Amino acid sequence: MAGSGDILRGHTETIILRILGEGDSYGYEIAKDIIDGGEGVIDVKDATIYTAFRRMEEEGLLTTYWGDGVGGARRRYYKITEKGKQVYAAKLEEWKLVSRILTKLIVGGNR
Amino acid sequence: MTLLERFKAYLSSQFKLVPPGREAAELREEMLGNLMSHAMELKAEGIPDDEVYTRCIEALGDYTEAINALRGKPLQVLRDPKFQRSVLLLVTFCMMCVVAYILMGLLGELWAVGAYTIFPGMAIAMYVFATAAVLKRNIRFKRHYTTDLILITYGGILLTALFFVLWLACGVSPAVAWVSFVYIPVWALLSVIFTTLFFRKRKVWLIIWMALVMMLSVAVFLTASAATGMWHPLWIIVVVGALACGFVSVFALNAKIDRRSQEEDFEK
Repeated sequence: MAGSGDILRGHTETIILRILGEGDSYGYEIAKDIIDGGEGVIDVKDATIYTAFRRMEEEGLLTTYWGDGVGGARRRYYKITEKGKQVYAAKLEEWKLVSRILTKLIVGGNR
Repeated sequence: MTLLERFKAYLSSQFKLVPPGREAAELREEMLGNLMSHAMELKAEGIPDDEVYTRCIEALGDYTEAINALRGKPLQVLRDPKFQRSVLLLVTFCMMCVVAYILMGLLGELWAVGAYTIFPGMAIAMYVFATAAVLKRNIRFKRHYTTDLILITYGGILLTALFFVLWLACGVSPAVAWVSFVYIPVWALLSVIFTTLFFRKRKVWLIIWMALVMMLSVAVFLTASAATGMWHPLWIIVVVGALACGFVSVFALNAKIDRRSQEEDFEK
């Protein structure tokens, strides 16, 4: 089985964009969403998410704001931008195409 | 020690070599927010604090790259528009003072008056502006390592000025006016109490002990001197009180640093 890093490689930003497309969120919550959806195979650290956040913020895919605190510490929330939504839509189409081709090539049975 | 305090101590060790700045403060606050969000969930499941702490730190992952990126970047500081604006403001102000000095000299033949008023005034204005900027930054980033020093220095300057005002302007004998110096440690104490209670919200027992000793030594000195008229030798009471406070605070802070080091060793 491929490691968690191999599975996510190249897709972390798309996954983050999908999660933010469903509502604003913060680092820990996004990491938890990914781990929960990873069926025990995927593990992701807050630092990995943070690195992706910074890159995506520089590219104008998301914006940030400070929200309510928990236990004496504020949360930094991330919000997807219009550009982020467009990039996600393009990435989704690309994924569907790659997924269809790889399924055909790996699973076979088309002859 | 609460989880919040333990996380803050952990982050302090991680950011030890990072100079203060908006970006560093925001990253630190974001990491603390994530740690506390995770911790609250684990605590709700009834997990003990020590395990919560370990699991939260583990889930944080490796922030070394992000933290290293915030360490000393002198060239970037030089290119920062805020830094450039500050330098420009400073140079403009100094040039205006030089021009005012030259004008006073050329137009009014007031070279000496100009030298004795404009340049000390310029230095005072720059000092006030610089310390105000540091205090503003301290409050914004909740860093108060320099706040006490600034407040104590101002107290010292103002009380020294009061001594000269009482002596030279009000005609009070210097043998009595010098009592204003006694209030420098009192002012220092009040400054420390102020920053501790309003910003740090800790080490209260130490501050109360210091307050008691300092206030008592000043009260004993003033009372004894007023009663005997022996102001001069009795000022030593205040010095002894200040030294006692200094010794106790140094030992207490050293003990605290040792405890923290032991905790950090244990965590490793």
